[in-house]
Amino acid sequence: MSTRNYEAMFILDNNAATADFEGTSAQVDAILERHGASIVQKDKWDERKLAYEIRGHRRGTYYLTYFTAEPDAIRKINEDVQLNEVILRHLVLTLELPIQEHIDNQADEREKLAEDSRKNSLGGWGGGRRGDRRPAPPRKRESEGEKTEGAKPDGAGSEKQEAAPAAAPQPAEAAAAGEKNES
Amino acid sequence: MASNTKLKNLRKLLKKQSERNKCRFTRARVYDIDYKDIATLQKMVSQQGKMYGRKRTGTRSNFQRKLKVAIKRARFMALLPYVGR
Repeated sequence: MSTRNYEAMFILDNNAATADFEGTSAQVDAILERHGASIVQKDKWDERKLAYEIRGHRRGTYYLTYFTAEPDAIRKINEDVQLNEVILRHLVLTLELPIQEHIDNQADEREKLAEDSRKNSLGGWGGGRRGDRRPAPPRKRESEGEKTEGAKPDGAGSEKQEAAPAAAPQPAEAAAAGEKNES
Repeated sequence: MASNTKLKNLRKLLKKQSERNKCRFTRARVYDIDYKDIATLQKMVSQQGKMYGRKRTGTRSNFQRKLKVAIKRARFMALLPYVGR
């Protein structure tokens, strides 16, 4: 009858997925196809740490699929997916647009947002680019790199070599401290 | 004359700053917010994983509603924490 477009994301058991990704993703495909879904696109999205434990798993492999199916099939797919032990969690969304258009739109919008945050990051008022009297506030890692380079000429001769390694660990320590705060 | 250009510059600066405080989604001319775009979602969430209010981020109401859905989806898929870190 009338089919609709869907996007489905699955979190796969990392132990099974790292050993044999093709096999585990084929299990998902089999479930979808068993209920009359035709898969348009399938990707391994990412292998990442989960924000919280799911059934004792700290890491998971994300598997992203786009497919068309009849609305009645979704309920059956959900039931089958929940019975499968390799799939930790899944999310099926209905798409309003044709699949390819939707994918392109999302990539486009993600890029726009990334560029916007690059331009308008609140790295200090006045935003150094204006040619202000104040030095530009550090905004990106690139600027940090420039700083360490700038610090080198201050030291004389033999100190130059010492200054560079001394400057390098500081960002690493800062990053480590940041991680500690987060955890 | 000099004061005139200064005023102009000041106005420009103020306009730029007020532009920055506005909704980032309106600025980027986005239609929808994707739950898979973790980099963007993480900016709208505190370290503990709580959503920031509209007054803090300046998000327009329709985008705040879309953002709410996107964050909740991301939480369900363990991309963002429900609580703590």
